[in-house]
Amino acid sequence: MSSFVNPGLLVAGLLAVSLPVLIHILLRRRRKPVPWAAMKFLMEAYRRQRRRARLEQLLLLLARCAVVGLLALAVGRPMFGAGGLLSGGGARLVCIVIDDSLTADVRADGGMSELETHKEAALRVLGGLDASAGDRAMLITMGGPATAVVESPSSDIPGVMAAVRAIRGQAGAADVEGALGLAREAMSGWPAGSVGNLVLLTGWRAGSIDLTKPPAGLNAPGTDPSAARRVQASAPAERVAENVRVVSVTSLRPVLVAPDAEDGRDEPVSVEVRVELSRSGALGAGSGGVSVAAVSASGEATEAVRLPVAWGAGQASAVVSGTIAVPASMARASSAVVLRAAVGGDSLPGDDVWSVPLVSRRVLRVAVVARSTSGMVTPGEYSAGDWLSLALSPEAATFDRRGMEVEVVRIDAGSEDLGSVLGCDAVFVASPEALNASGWTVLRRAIDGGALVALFAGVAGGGESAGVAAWAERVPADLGLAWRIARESKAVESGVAATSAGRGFLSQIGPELDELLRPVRVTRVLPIERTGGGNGGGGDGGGGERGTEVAGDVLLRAGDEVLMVSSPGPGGRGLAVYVSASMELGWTNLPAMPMMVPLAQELLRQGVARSLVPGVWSAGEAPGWPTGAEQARPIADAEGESVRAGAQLGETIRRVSSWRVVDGSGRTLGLASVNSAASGSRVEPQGESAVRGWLDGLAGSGNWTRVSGAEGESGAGSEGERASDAAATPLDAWLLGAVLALVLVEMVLARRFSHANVSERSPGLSGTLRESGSSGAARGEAAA
Amino acid sequence: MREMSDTHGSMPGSASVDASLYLHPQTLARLSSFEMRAKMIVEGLSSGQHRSPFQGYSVEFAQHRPYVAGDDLRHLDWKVYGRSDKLQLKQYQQETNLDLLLLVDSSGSMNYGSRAFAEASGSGREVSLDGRPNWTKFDHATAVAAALSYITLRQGDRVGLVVYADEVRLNLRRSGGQQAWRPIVSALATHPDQTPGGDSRPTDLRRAVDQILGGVGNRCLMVVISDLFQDMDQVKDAFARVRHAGHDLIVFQVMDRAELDFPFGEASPFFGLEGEGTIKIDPRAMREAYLAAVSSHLAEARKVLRSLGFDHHLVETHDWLGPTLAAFVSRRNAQMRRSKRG
Repeated sequence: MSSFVNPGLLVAGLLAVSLPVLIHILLRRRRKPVPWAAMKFLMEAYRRQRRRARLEQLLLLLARCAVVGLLALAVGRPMFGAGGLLSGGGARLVCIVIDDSLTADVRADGGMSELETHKEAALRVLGGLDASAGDRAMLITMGGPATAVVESPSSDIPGVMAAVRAIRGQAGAADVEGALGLAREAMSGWPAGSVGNLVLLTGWRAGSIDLTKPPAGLNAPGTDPSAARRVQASAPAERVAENVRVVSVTSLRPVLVAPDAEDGRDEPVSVEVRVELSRSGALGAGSGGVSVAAVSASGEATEAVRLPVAWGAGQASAVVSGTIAVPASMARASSAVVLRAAVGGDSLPGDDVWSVPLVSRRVLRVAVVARSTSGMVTPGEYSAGDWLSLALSPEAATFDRRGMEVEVVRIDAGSEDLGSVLGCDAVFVASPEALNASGWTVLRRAIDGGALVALFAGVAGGGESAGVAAWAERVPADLGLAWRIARESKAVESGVAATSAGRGFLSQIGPELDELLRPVRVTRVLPIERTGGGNGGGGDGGGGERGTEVAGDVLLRAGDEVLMVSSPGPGGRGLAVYVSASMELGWTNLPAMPMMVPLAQELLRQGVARSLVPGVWSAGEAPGWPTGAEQARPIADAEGESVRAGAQLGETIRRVSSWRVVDGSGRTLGLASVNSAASGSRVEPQGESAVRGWLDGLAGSGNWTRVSGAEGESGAGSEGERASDAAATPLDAWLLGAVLALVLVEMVLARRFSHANVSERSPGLSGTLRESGSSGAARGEAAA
Repeated sequence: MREMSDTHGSMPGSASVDASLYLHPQTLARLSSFEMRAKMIVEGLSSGQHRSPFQGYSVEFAQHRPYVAGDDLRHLDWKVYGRSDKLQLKQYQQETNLDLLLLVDSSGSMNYGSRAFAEASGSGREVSLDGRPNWTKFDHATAVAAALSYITLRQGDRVGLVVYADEVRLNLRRSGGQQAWRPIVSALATHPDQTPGGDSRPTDLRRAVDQILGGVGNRCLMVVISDLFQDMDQVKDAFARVRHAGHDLIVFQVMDRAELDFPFGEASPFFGLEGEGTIKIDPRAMREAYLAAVSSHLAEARKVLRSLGFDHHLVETHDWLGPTLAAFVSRRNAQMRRSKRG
């Protein structure tokens, strides 16, 4: 059974034990025989000394072999205790759980990350295993979602070690429960009575493990302590890490429009950005800043704009705003531009960059589907389509299309062929009652294609008549939306108010929103039927509104009625908006109010942006891909590789980047932004006692130890832990001490047994005889 | 046993042996001022300076002894018989020559030497005649034997040579005259046991002594030049037989300095020169025990020889031969003078 961290060195060292024997044999063979006459006396001395000489030689040889052998044991780093020499015979099974989450990317003064420390500890543990003795190991990474890199215990220890070395830090938060769940599932299948350890390697920072949540026990209640799975855990990090995180970057204009300049000059597009930061520690106190730049799809970046941040003492968050200039050519070159904010100089580089894609267009194309009108009409005779067209493109009245950001395409709602709407970014249906069946089909295709489809109420007969909205059933049937729109309009007399969701949606006009809404009155609506009367409010983005169950985000209200609501398309892409009042003066005075133009513009821009950007996710989360998504391609990331997408595949995107989601034909279905997990940025160290309590909950009191050699290993701890630590003490230090002692013993023995000082003690008989007298007889007497 | 009964009479000018290799001129000059005298009265065939224990017929009266059956009636002192009616034999002191019998050990262990040949011989030669670069204990024994025989021959006495290992390997008949010196040196310098590729025989002094005593009729001074690397019980047994036969004995125990100091540091295999095999040892670990064993051996050898009334002399191959022999001869003469006074 192996209990050594470095069994290879142990084997080499043990082989080296033969060296003294070999040297002894070789030296003996090389001696030239000495002819000798006084063999009679030598034989007599030899007989007298033979046993002693053999004993001396044997002692010396044993001492030298012991020195080499103990040295081999020392470099083999035997472990004594749990999982070590005292852990009994039989194969050992080890489940290594490594924290490779964002939090483990914490570095000490720019040096080695905690993840690297964990990997080294894991390699030491694996190095102590002996596949020939039946030892096996499996490997789980904790970066969310937890992954079983080596799913079942493998005897291919070198392969597991290679897998450990290949681990790269993740941008996601740690998935402790997931990792422990995988470990429990695997360990439950281990043979009963086998020696099994769970090696948990983490820095125990706040972002890695929430110690306030007690873990489920690794061993079932009542498990025999001798058969219980033990836990070896790394020591909690003690160093306070200084970190600044980019929480978000938002552009006040979600769609970047770069129209052809009126005078031919290619002016850059100004983008107002808002960066939210959070901080732990005292990094950058009184100074610091964030750099913001726009990056094209090809990776070309604008010059970064430095936005200063003045951190006050104890300040944990900050918001800075600024403007960056994006070259119009960059915006026109592709359908997306990435906004990237970055901070630096902290101990957690993994959360220093935050990016979000912006939809960019040369011009926004909007199809206004309405009943056709003939001839010139006065404003008092404007239909809903007219009002909407006017609000969407006021410049069109000048007949100078250069510089126009919105291009409106009027389409007759009663037309049999509405296919032209499919090339537009948005479709505003002012007269849904005029649509035929094929029209609804086209609308569904538009939504599925990622377009914004805004439905405005309308009834057959139009005008102020209280006709029937037969088309209402088309909404769930053809568009796949969960809205139940009433078939009959309803008279109301109410002002208009924005919900919190609406304020977010209309944030661009947020400061003036209330002022603009105040004169707006609604007299008739085609309401959305509420599906329940409780206070669920789950779908009511208006939070705090009266309980309605309307799918989507309620943006505006007219009294008790929902005036504007939005919902993602049924395939997870595109955006549908329903406005329960027709844009006719008989329904509301909105078309004639100042609110009309900003409302239409924001509805268009925010709607287009939201229809193309499914969301901003944290790394490791399972994204809700739109239907038909096949692949996510990185934007502005030359080194990035495409990943497979598709909800059905359950794929996750772990790498921080911006992505363009495409279908099988390469058509863009949406844009996505994946940034580091916010919770992973919590790098505050957690208390030793809390860690002990958590481990006691996981493994049982006294049934866990520190991983040998892990950073921060400390002898301080509870009584049970101290006992465990003592039991798991590595023996190499003791062995090295024993080696030194043996070397000294060997030197003394060698000195004594070599009889190197014999000549000094006994000069020989000739000298004695010479001193006794010169005559031969005298010398004979002296010898006697 | 290989018998070399003939001498190489034409040694001067011989190309095969250079006697000066083993007897440095300085050594000879040092020795010429001393006389070689036996500690005890030895029997000689020719008149000389040495007193003989044998009662002859025409020399100085020494004493009477009771007649026993078998005695030659010609030696009865009839005057004493007439006065005391007792049969007494007359005994005489006779001046004899000193027969020196050199017993040189040629066993395998004598082939060891850690000293450079050029340094030890003093002749300017880098290697021995057979190409060895080292000065072995046998080389040193040869030098000692050459010196002793030279002195003895200059006094007009006879010198014989026996080379032995596990048995007598060479027996050179005793002879006198200056011409007898070179054959002795030549026989030692060319002894096949001490040439490269020669036999590595163990030492068996007792057997060699047995073989020698059978061929020595008159009493003589025996000089054993050996490292005595064998069991001391056997050595004691051999020397006891020499004593029993009435011969005098001097032992020059030749040892290399490396054998006395054991200056080895690195663990190495050691193989014996007399076929003891090889042992792998750490010399530093063995040194104390080895030196203790050597020291104990030397002490025991001296004790054995002293108990038999013989002399023991330790000769180290790294020392010059001259001073060692001079000190020995001086000591011997002093002993003889004391013996005369006593």
